[in-house]
Amino acid sequence: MSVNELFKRELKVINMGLESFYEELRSQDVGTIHVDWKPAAGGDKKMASLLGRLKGL
Amino acid sequence: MAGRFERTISVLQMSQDLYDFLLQRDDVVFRVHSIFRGAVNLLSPDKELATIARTDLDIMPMGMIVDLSSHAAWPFENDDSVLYGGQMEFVLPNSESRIRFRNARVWSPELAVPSGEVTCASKEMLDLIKKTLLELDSGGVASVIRFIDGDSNEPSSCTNIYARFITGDICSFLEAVEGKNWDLSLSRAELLIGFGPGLTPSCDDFLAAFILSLYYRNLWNHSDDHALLNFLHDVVDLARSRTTIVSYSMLKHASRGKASCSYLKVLDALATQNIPELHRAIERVLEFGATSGADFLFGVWCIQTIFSRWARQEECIVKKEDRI
Amino acid sequence: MIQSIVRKNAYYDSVTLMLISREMKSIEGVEEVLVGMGTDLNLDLVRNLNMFDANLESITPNDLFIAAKFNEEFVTMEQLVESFEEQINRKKDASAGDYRPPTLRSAIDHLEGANLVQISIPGQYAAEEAETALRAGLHVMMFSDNVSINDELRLKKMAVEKGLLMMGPDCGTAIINGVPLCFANVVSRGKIGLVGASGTGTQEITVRIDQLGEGLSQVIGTGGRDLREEIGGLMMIQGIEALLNDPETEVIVLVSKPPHPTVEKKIIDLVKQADKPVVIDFIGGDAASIVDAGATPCLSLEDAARKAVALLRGEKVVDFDGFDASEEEIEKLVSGSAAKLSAGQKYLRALYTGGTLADEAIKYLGDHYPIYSNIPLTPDRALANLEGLNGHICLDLGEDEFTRGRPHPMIDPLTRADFFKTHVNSSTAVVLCDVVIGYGAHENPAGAVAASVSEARERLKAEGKDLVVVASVTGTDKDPQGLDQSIASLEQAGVIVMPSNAQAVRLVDLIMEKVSA
Repeated sequence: MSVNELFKRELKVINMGLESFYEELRSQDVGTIHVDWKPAAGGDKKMASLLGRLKGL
Repeated sequence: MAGRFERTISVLQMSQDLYDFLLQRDDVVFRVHSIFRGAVNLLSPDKELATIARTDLDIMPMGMIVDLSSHAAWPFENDDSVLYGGQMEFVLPNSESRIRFRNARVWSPELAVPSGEVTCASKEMLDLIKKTLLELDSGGVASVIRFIDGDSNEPSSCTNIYARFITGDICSFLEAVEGKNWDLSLSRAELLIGFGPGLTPSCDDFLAAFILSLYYRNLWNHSDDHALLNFLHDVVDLARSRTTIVSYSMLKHASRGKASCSYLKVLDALATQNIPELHRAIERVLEFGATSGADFLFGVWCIQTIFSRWARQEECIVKKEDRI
Repeated sequence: MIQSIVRKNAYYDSVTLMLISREMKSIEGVEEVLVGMGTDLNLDLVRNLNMFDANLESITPNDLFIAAKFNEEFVTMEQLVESFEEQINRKKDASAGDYRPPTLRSAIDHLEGANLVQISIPGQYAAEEAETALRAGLHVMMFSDNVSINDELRLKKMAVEKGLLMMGPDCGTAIINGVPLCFANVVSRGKIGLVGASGTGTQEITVRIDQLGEGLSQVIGTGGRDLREEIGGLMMIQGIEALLNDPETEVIVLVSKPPHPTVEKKIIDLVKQADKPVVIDFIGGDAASIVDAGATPCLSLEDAARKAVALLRGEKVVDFDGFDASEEEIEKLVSGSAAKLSAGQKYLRALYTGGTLADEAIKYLGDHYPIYSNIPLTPDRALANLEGLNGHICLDLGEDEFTRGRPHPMIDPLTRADFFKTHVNSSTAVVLCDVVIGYGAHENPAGAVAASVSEARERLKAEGKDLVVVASVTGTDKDPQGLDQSIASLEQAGVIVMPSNAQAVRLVDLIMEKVSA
């Protein structure tokens, strides 16, 4: 959907991160969904890649 | 109590100790102590706490998991009576309901002896815990880790008032434990028990990690260290009047090697050096209450770090003896 | 005032209690709040903070207590308990709530017709998620910072290829189809379109346009680095093109710090072809090339708003560097303010939460006298070169060096409150502040400033001194915090509230001139 196409549609937002942003959209009746996002492997990039390797075995 | 019930709730899983506790008694009148969205605590006349939880919570000592969807309301109110009169079921007179555990699976709240060799947690595993805690910033005393591991010299770097207040006492407790001075450790523990917000104050979750880890180290190494075991029981004795009843029960269980399923899984993963399992266990622990979980993990990190220092010292001693 | 209440046999989990005490602490007039179980050690902490009172004498470990230290002029214990109850109930509702998918993929499946992803997760993970969004054909608004410039370039190239918006990283504000995203004010919809590389600069222009009775069609953010050489203005160009093609947009406003020359040239070339009037505020940048391109340059953010409105209405476009108020009124304000001050009060303290607003202040005032800052005009005016507190200071408190793990000062007013305590003293003549309201911002930033001002006044009173405080509110009457309420609580604390940041800065300049004369 091009930018100008977006301007003609109803905005529907997926929120990832700060929950307050989601709450504020909801309070304005904007169509929205909040992703319960968590970093892989408790936030450790090295660990994530290690886990990836272990899973690959 | 004619057999007319509005509702029957079935228990899916029950802790071995609760099962034994009930089967040894003909009838017990529990009182509803506290109600949460995910769980309800019952108190027996002799002050034993039993916990009923929904499936999205962790099973724990003296606990059971019931088949009650997360939308459904609990059929209790505070101070309601809950009767156990044999027949493998609880009766709830006020709501004309019953909870049956005839078909429940029984879960052991203790760890089995690991099959392989029991070793110290690797640096990699300790770093995984530490990193998780640093990023989490849960609000409990776990943020003291910033101070302890040399990232900062300022207790003020801890993000909350509880952590700032207790940093010094935690440090002196760690020192005493590391020196295996159990009398001193006890008087230091006294400065921690019951401290922090919540039903299980943060420092109690921290101490639970110490008690559990020390208990299992002693058991698995067949050391039978009486001074240590006395220390564990004395901490629990202190806790009886110094903290909430929920927290006291947790510490009491810990001194007998019992803890909730995810806490035990953390220890098991560490003992068996299973990193993917540790990762999953950490996630579970944090899921069940970010503050408690983080404070427990912080305790685990501290005591396991102490274990690895002990191991290095022992190695040195062995090497010296070899040379002689 | 110190007071506590005890609830017998009340049980809540630690996370709930932690969050609630944090939120109660932010209530105006509250200095410290502790909520916990009545264990001996928790009571020790209460004593240690000098918050113990008789109610706590007979508490047991199985009872809950709320202990508070507060200023009874602003709040009562009953109100605190009420707020506690309300939040406990709110937490209960929230846990019963809506479905939250664990990944972006499943969110796309669940929200039919989703067309934009708003990302505020930690920077190291943000690029990967943005890429997933763009690949799925969704527009992206990225509030996260700490994304590498290479990732930014890659994402923006991908967005341009697919004809999508990639607003950010570090994009604080946008209004798409009338919906304010992240930090944005509620402004009327209208015919002026805006592309901005600077967050509070964009907010200031949009609220002034709203005040002047016009509205915005679309407000597109680009993130602060878009006009650097490495990125080449990819999103600003994408935004300008979209506004040129948008039938709702009749006038276009561009706002940013001065772009890299090669990027500026690209933008100027595009503006030359434009069939709609374009107003450009390259804050402190060179006006010649803008005029050359047939566009309108500006003196301030407010001036940009005024010129855009004039162009839209077909009115004569004139520079605005004065005041809404009459010359006499301003003269009265200036001499009245100067009369409040006593000998030795000579320094300026400009404490800003909005980066672009701080930038606007320092560029104007820094021309007239030396101002020390974390965003200094010249390196010798860096904050480190200031001796003690002897000198004029203008700070952008939103920079990492000041927040130290706290949320941005537009969300958490404590950072600025601390600076009021440490940096406003008996040698201070004038304090200059911004108050940014709207979505994303703190629920009562004006109240927080008012409290700091009252506290500072009280402190100086002991030395027989007073203080001049000048502020402006970036907001509209439609914002959740309300423009009128915000202005009223500032004025109650004796703050002079000007209609725009530019006018606040100019008034301060006149007062400082009078003070030093």
